[in-house]
Amino acid sequence: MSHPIPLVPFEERAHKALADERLQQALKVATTKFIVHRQEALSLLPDADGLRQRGRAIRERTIAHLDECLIQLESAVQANGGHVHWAQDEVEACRIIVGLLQERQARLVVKSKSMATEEIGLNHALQAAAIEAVETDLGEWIVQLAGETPSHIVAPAVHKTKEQVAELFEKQVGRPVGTDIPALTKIARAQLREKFLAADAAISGVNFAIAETGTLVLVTNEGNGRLASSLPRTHIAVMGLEKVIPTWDDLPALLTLLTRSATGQIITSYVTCVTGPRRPGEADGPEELHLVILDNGRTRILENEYRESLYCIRCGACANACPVYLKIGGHAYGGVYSGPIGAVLTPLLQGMEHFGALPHASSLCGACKDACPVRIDLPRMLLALRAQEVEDKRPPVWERLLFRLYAWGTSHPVIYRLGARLGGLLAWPFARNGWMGRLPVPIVSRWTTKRDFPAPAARPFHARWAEIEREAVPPPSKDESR
Amino acid sequence: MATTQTNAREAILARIRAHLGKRLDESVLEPAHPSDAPAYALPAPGTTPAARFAAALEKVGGHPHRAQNGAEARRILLNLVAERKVQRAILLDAPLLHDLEILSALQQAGVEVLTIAAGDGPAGDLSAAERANLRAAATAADLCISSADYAIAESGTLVLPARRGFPRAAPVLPPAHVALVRESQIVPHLEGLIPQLKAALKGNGSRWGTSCLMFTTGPSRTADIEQTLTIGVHGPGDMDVILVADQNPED
Repeated sequence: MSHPIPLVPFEERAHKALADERLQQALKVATTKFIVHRQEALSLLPDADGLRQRGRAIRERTIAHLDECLIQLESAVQANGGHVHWAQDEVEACRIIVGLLQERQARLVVKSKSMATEEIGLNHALQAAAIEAVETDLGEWIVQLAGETPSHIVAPAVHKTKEQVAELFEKQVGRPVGTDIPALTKIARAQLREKFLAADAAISGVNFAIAETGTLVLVTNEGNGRLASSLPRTHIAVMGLEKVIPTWDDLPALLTLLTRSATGQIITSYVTCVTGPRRPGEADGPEELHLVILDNGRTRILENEYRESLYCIRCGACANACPVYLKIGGHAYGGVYSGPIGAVLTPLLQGMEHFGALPHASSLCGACKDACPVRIDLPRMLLALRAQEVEDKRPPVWERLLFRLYAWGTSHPVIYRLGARLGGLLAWPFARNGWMGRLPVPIVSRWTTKRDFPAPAARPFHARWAEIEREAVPPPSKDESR
Repeated sequence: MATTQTNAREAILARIRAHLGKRLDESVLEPAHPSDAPAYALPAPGTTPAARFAAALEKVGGHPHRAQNGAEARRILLNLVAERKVQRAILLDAPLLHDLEILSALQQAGVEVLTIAAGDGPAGDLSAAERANLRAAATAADLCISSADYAIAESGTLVLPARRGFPRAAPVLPPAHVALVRESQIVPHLEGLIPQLKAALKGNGSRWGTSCLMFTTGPSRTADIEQTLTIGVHGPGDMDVILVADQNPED
């Protein structure tokens, strides 16, 4: 029931995205806006880099004490009258949630945006159990009506035009709706309001879970998180186990880092801090609150050098900053999480076998690390995953021989110089303006089908350097200057 | 099911402990440098909290108003009610709204008001029918009128703890929300509010004092269609805050 493995390879998906001019335009508009707003919001702070350090320190401390934090969270949620469920993987998580809903004979469920439920493929599991699940975040709803998956963590429907949205809504309401965006939003409000009022249960994600009081923090702009945690009689919240934070004192730094990095807001319109179900005398709020704590491969990541990928607070700033994401968008990544963090998390959570190409979807320029509010070293992990892929695959004999030969050559000056001259000569017929396109040489062509190769200089650098040195006026010696 | 759950819990915790126990090569992970950098912007010199709150709320598409006294606050509210052609309102009573005699002002203006009493109210729980009625009233209302426990100057945020007399969804269901807040309730930023919140909500050392602490900042908004900012998607499209000066509350 998990998120489906894509059927076409990454290269093909990327090519498809590159050929989609409208997508290119939408991505450019969206990411540029996010980048500008983020910079503005961070520049208001007296010490934005210091705050990022603070955010990182909180995440580092939390993950280093993850077991204690989760146990404290569990007992606090229970003390508030909530129920806690632990799920080792997507199958367990879906079984728990579907089971809870079936026991309560729930037929209609409203969902507030949750990447964790995308990750466990919950909508498929609900469909299989004949439970209607309606996404209530506008972007998620559009994507759901289209039968697609989110293409951006903050703007799930960034790839859709208003005409496409109008077409989807027309099918929904059975009459022409026009393409006026405020009018389309009104239609969504009316349609989804009905669902909110009729729903038997709500399923939400969790942005932060505060261990000391058992409080689940939902961060939204539309207000769907607020309604989901107020109206239906059962609220099921699903969190990746890394979402815990120790205390309320940790919230302001992480919350403002999240919203400033995601959309450039000081805070979002609605931040809802749920501490248990409805209490006696209160007019609304769920009768039952269930928290599902999801592992699904996260504890495996703790073990090794990828541990810091669990510091992520899901702001999407790395994707907006990434030149590769800008060109290919979220769908090309094929997993739930896109952008640089997706290129690290997806292979780790869903396996290198199907997603081994993702760590290569990066120029290693480091923009993602610079944008990350908790300074996750994404380029380091992308490189480590590439190395791991090579080690796992054990390259063919010729490739190992070739690289051994290369290593030997570059460490012997005479061979190296000979090679550099030879390279220039051999490359000369194929070079245009300093670059080589497709090379008709069997092994090398595998490189040049995907990227141009810089042509070796006609005269090697060391030869030119020697010449410069000869022509230069010798500097005055120390004896003369004395 | 119970055994599976215990197993899952124990297995997950065991994996965490085993993996955290493994010392990572320290050189791999860049350690966090302790920092006490503030999580807020420093207020511009010479500005008042009320002015900063108003500017921040305006920036996110909300409508701030300043009232020197109760009479002015009522006048502003009644203007809004007339402008928006409000027929039915839901009023979440609070000491400030009581002091400012908001209910009678609305009734005189011909607005049908459902008041939800503040404080502990009648002892005991509300029946399912009573709750359904309140929800129906909030859904049918054109406006919700409330106060707030605090207002945050930096972001233009209202801090609203759910309680008996303050339903979670009541300010979100109608298309408009007006909140009246005393200037003395404004705090500079969220970070500075946390110790106060902890003291207020954790008072007697028992469980957290509200089932739902709600931060609301401006209208409900989305940019999910073509990155075009649109308001009023699930919550109110109009969010008005009337800041009432502290002196001469009763004029």
